[in-house]
Amino acid sequence: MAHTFASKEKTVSNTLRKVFAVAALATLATLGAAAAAAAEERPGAGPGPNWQWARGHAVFVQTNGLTGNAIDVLAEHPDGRLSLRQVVATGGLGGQAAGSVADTVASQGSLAYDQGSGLLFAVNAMPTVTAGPGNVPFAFAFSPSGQLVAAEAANSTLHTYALGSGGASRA
Amino acid sequence: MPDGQKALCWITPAGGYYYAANAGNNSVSAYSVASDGTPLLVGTTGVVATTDGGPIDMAASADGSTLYVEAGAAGAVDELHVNADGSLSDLGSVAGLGTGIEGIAAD
Repeated sequence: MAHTFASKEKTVSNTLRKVFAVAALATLATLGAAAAAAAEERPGAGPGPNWQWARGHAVFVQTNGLTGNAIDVLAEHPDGRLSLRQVVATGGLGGQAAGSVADTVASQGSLAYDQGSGLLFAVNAMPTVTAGPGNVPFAFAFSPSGQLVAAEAANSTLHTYALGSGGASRA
Repeated sequence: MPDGQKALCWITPAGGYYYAANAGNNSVSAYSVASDGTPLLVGTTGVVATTDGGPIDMAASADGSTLYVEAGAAGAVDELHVNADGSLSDLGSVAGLGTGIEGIAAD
């Protein structure tokens, strides 16, 4: 808890194009249970390597990586502690507001989980690219084995919409 | 109702309280809401936790018992237990997630 942090920079580059997504999808397969998580868990977090993740609850964190955005899946332990279980690439790129140290996307809710559909929606905030079909965000779902996987983009019931300063587009 | 901190830009409900991340102070403030809708600081100052560097977005566990604070500058997620009086107890953190993380959700 001893980190230092300069006051937050709110300036956003004129060239920054944030991409937001709204999507809807049909029902997902029932989630599986009792997936062993030991191999991918990070030492030092959570109750230990023998703990079994029953695909109870999870916390998702967006890396917002400039060379490749990804989602960290953190398994939630009964005591509230977390451990890294899986990292899934979105296929897109993160972004960084000019001069920002934290708050690189200048947004709240840039990663969203929809309880009804079981889908997780990520934002690929390209720093210099106008919103377009190549810059769409990605939707994820859990496989029966408890792994986070890309939702079937070819599914005709899934439509992703990207909004940016250049306008909106659908992929 | 100001919390006297810096760069309050994110607010998340958990356990009947509202938690605000102060990115400029590395802290979290707690608010309750009175019956007439007035926000009130929890305790004397409202500050209920010190966080890793650059607290931004947050997510609460499904049962509202744990608040997860994304520290964007530190590249960490802080784990905080939500107490009945709105105070928070430090459970630990997951570090090494990379500076620049933004976006957090819980199911």
